[in-house]
Amino acid sequence: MNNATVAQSSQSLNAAIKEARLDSRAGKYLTFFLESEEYGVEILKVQEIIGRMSITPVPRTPEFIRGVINLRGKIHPLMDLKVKFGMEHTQITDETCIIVIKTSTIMMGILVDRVSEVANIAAGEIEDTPSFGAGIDTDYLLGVGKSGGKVRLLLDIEKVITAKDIISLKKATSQANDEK
Amino acid sequence: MNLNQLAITLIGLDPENLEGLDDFKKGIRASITGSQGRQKSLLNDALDTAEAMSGHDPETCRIGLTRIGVLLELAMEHPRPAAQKVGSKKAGKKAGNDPKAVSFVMPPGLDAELLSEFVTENLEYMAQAESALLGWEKDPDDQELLNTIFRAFHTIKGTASFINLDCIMEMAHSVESVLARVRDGKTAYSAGNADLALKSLDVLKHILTRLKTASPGQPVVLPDQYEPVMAALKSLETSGQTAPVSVSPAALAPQPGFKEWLTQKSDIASGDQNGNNGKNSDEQSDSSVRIRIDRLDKLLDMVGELVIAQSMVSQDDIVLNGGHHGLAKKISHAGKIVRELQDLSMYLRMVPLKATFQKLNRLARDLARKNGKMVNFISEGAETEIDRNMVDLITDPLIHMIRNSIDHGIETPEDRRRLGKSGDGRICLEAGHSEGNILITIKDDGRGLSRGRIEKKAIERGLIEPAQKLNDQEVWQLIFQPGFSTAEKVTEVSGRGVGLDVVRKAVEELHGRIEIENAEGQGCTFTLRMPLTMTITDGMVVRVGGEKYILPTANIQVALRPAAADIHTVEGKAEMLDLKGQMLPVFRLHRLFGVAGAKTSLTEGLLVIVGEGVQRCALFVDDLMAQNQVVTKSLGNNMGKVPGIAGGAIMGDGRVGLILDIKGLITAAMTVTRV
Repeated sequence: MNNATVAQSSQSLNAAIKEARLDSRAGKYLTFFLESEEYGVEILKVQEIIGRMSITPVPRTPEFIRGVINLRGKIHPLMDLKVKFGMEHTQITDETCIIVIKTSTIMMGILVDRVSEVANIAAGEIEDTPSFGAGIDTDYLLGVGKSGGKVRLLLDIEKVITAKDIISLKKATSQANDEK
Repeated sequence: MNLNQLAITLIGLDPENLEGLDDFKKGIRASITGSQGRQKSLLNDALDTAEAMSGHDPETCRIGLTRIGVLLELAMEHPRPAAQKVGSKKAGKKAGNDPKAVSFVMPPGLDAELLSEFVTENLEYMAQAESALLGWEKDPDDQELLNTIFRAFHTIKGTASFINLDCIMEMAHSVESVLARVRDGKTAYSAGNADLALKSLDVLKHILTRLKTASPGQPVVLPDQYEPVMAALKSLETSGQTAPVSVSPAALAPQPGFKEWLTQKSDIASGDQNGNNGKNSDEQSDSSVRIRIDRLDKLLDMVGELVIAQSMVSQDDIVLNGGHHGLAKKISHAGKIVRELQDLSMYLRMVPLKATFQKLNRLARDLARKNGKMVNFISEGAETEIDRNMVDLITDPLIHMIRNSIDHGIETPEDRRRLGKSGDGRICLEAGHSEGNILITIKDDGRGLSRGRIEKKAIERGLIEPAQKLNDQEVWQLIFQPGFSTAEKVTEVSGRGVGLDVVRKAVEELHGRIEIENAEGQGCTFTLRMPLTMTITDGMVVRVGGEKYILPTANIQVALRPAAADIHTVEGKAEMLDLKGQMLPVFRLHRLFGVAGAKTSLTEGLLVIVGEGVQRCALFVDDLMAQNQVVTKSLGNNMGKVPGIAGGAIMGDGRVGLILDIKGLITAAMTVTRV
């Protein structure tokens, strides 16, 4: 095998890997609103959506932990996603929802202002997260989904939940909207 | 003669008739010349012991033989001289890449589920065999016990051959053959036979635990002990004339001895059915099913939900005040059924302590032998049931305490006789129920605790002031102090205290406590008192502002509304309560937890006295609401540990209530307020 074919095959391999990565991001997303911005989380990681229910606050926990809820006899923590993203506390209204996230390691509710829809986002509609400059965490984003004239930040929800601190995404959203 | 052969000769020695002792001594001398370093000194010790034995009474000889056995064992464990290494290398060449470790290859295509079932089942048979062996050791004439041992080894052999695990099959087969010789009267029983069988069980157990993580086609490393034990078995097996040496699948067919035993067994069964009812009681296994624990937990969760849903229906306004008497009656009937279902579901998690007790029995036996002490271990109430989750947590503290009793409590046989006690020490392990609690007592007739020594040590360690007057219980509790355990030199003399703080910690985690009864020189009794299950907490609901918390009833000493005169302020900040002359710090729960809208005047709310010792304090709450039994649940995996909160519980209204962890709460409070 000469050098040229090696380079060629590694190139095509890279392309295939990229393709595969794009493909793994494509799929169905549950989209929801925090204030006016729309976000998406992979539908496979959502166990269910529940309306408002009584929340028991737990003292001495981080600010973004709103409390705990009773889901059919099991207790689960509830995260106020807006506080996690450095926004105001969520005001509970009739539209407020709890999205229950379930992965192999995580079982937790997240509090959002309003659930929007289940959107099918194709590989071609997902762009890599642009670099927003210093001070903005883009690690927590899978990418930006642009479909039907809407811009949605697709969250890597596992990373968001396991992060210890508040994540600043505020600027990321506005910049992504500007690009539109 | 190599060490294995020596060990076998030793097994054959009879304490009452030391004919073979000279040959044995010769063998040791020969081995000493071929050995070096630590091994040499161990063998020298063994030889000295053997020399000193001649002319003594049988019991002393028995102790001497045990000691020699232990020394030999240690010598065998010690890195072997070069000449012997070749042997193990040769055996290792067969399978492994690592020349030193002996291994075998897992049969490829072995079904993982089948394997895991095999492991679980055989561990059970081994437990049966172990308990029977321990009994047989005490009573070698008991045919029934011997039969149980046979049955277990035979089943292990059969199932192992079924899935082609030759190493297990061969060992089980050899043990069976050795025991068959004893049963058929070809060899006389000696303590060594049982000992060897027990060791084989240990090796087999090791292999089984390794199998759990092995995958088909992969080599599995056999335990170091496999070879020596196997060699010992083989030579015992062949030292007579008839026992078969090679193990072929054909050998699995019931041998003549086995068949004989079967007929013998049926004779016993038909002949004497009434006679051995009581004796067999612990062998008769109840018919049972294995259930996956996650399914069981789910069932319990659902029953809990059902209870809540039912109480919500029965509290509904339509039912209470709607005037529908028929409906109310039906709902209250359903409620009764639901409550019964709940009680029943709680018992599903209970398992008997038997397996734990058996482990302890074995441990006591091995430890006593190692220390040259004679211990008669008696256990009672092994059928007592305890929450499955607690079993693992209680085992370690019990091991610790038994070890402590043997190490420090029970005296050596000579000392005991000098004190006018019988040479055999006695350790009694007992379990039972009392007032909804489970009690486990460990009672020994050793030297007991010495009040004087403990006090002296505690003063040296700065745990108490010399002038402090303590009652007996307070003195005994000192041995559970962390500082006490590090006092190695003194504990060796005075007994007790090695790592007992670990024991107390474990028991406290189980929401239990330890009581001590002591008679110096006569022995000591430790009583562990724990709730039956940790999943249910008896709690008092306390209100603070708009929030409600559950305070475990066990923590509450007294609750009172303080008079203004009893409250003292320190430096304008910290508050103290004068409780009958004792000054206790006051912590306000609403401040600790940042709850708004709570009562702020101490004289309007309630002070709950909680905690013990230095942690004793008064907790300020608005009000006590109701007593409640709740099921403790975790706050979820992603929540981590919250200081001051032990867990959550689903309350009658479906909300989550938080259960307070008094210890954590006070620790957190003290670091904040710095009193």
